[in-house]
Amino acid sequence: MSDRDYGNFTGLSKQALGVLRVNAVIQCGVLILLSLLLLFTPLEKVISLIIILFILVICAVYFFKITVFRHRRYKYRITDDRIDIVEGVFFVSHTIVPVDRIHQVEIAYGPIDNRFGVAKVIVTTAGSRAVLRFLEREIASQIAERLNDMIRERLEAARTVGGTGTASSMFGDLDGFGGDGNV
Amino acid sequence: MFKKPARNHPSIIFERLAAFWGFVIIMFVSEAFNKLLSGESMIFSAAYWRSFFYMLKAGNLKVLLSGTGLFLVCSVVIVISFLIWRKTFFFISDGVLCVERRTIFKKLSKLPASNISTVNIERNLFERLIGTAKVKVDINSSTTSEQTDFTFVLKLELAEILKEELIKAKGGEEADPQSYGYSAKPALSSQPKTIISFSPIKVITHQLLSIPFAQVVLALITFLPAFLDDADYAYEYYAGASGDKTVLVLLIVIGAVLSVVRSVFQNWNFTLSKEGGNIYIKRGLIRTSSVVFEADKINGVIIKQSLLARLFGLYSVEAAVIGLTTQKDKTPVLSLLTTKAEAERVLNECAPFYKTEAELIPCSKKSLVPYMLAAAIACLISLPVFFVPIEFIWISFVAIAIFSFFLAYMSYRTKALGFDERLVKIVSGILVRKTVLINHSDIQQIDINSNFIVKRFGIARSKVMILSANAQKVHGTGYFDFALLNEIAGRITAAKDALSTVRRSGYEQKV
Repeated sequence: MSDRDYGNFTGLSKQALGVLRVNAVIQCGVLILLSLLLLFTPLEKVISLIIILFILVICAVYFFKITVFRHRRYKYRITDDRIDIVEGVFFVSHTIVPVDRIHQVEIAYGPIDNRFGVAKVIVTTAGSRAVLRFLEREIASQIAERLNDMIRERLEAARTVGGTGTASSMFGDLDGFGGDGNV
Repeated sequence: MFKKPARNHPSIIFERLAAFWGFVIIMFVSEAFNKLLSGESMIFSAAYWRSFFYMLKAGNLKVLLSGTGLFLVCSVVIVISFLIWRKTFFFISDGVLCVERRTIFKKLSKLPASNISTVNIERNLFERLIGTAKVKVDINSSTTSEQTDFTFVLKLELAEILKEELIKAKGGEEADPQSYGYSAKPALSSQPKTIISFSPIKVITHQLLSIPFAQVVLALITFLPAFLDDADYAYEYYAGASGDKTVLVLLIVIGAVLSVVRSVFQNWNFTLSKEGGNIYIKRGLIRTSSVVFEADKINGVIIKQSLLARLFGLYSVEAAVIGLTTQKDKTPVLSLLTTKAEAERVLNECAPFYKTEAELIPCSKKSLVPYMLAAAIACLISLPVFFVPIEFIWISFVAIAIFSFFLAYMSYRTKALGFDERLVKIVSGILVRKTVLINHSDIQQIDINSNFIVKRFGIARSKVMILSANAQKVHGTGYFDFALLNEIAGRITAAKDALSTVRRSGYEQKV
């Protein structure tokens, strides 16, 4: 699959954009406050002001453009055998977690997430951790529930057939994963 | 044995406080010594202690920082440690290792023996002197991969018995308490078969050939100019600065030699053996270590060749296993530098599942673009050297440019990737050539990373993550076509989780 081929992927909701914007405001706020400290240094006032102006421009671009682009770029897909998460603006990261390796699924949300009604689903394997961010609360719990069902089914299948069950036999009859199994 | 609650050896109290004790003794001795020298042997009088406690009562807590104060604090710590030791018990019950602390903060930890990853015995000089040993128990968890989960200090014989009982409980066997007594050696079902052992000469050779080349070059670059100053300058400062430099270089050389000697001592008598499904590694001269882990717990194999080792055609083999915190670098070395045939034999004996005929695919030619771009950026960053008022400074810039582009080209040339229906093979490393072999079903996550430049060329880099200690957890590839990386990702996601029993049963069928 090429980077541009995201046919079956699901994007983020509008609430997610709100969270991204609040995060951007916090990050830019800290940066601007730090840059204002330049005014109290022995650096020439003009140079300080130029630097502050430059930071303000960058913050504006980050808030109005990059946040939107990041929101548009963030995509995820959950199929019978894998979870795909694509994120990043200049540096794009495509994380793939085999469903068969998942040991634990958690839902978490902070105060900003809470305000916008979004949550993150944290997927833990034996040696890694992946996070599906900015999901609507309801979708997050649906995903977590389905992944938990998958883990339970896998464990039961392993127990009944002595660990020789195949992936298809384990995930074939799951509800809510009709067709290609996308959420 | 160990069915009834047992205690650690009392030496654990002193061992755990060794550093603290050392500090306190120095403080106390120096104070007492000073006072005796100055004719004040007050510390042996009641008046001294009365005044001490009077000051303490008056709120002068600074007195606690004096040697006497520290002695008192330490006494309290010792008493507490003694009580903790007295109230801490461990036992094995129905295949479960239980550790119970009956102090104010009560705690009962239960570890099913089947979840134990490794049981190791370690002895430092102090323990060898008093005849004790540490039994270190690690579980197969990435969250505690950097620390030992349970440590017990026992008499050597008891330590061996505990180790044996835990291994038996792990395998679901019931240990026979009558089979050995306190003084008897544990009755191993059979003697492990030695696969490879290294003579002192081979250990020294391994250590010498493993000296990091980059470190040597860096040291030479840093210190050579000090000795290449022109004659007048050197003459002028002969007694001063140059003399200091010699001392500094000598200190560094001594440090490097001591580091090599320490590593040689660590690997002294290195022996790899196998018995059933267990792999045994024994090594060490002053501090001995004995490691046992199941061959099935290997989550990856790493074959390494340092630059010097490549000249002699020697290879070392490492295994990615979780829970070996007794290992300094957290990666058990299966074989020190040895010939290709011997390394292959070690692999065949210990990890036959990692044998692959997968053909290596070199890095995509398009990957030269990001590497060269990185080199160009390095050159741009070093442009300000032209403002340094030194004659022939441009030579430095040319050197940086040549080095950057050479590094970029070598980064492209040295990276390769291979895969078959079971394994992924990742080759990388300019100075130290590293070949990593990982079972598809051991890979926990794959990250495919691109950026706005490489995306245009349809290439990306990937990282695979396995269950291992941090040092061997993430393995990165060079730039390859998206299609190729996605094909590998597809194979990995389709493979069944290796932490179940499938891999082992599959392997047994194969063999």
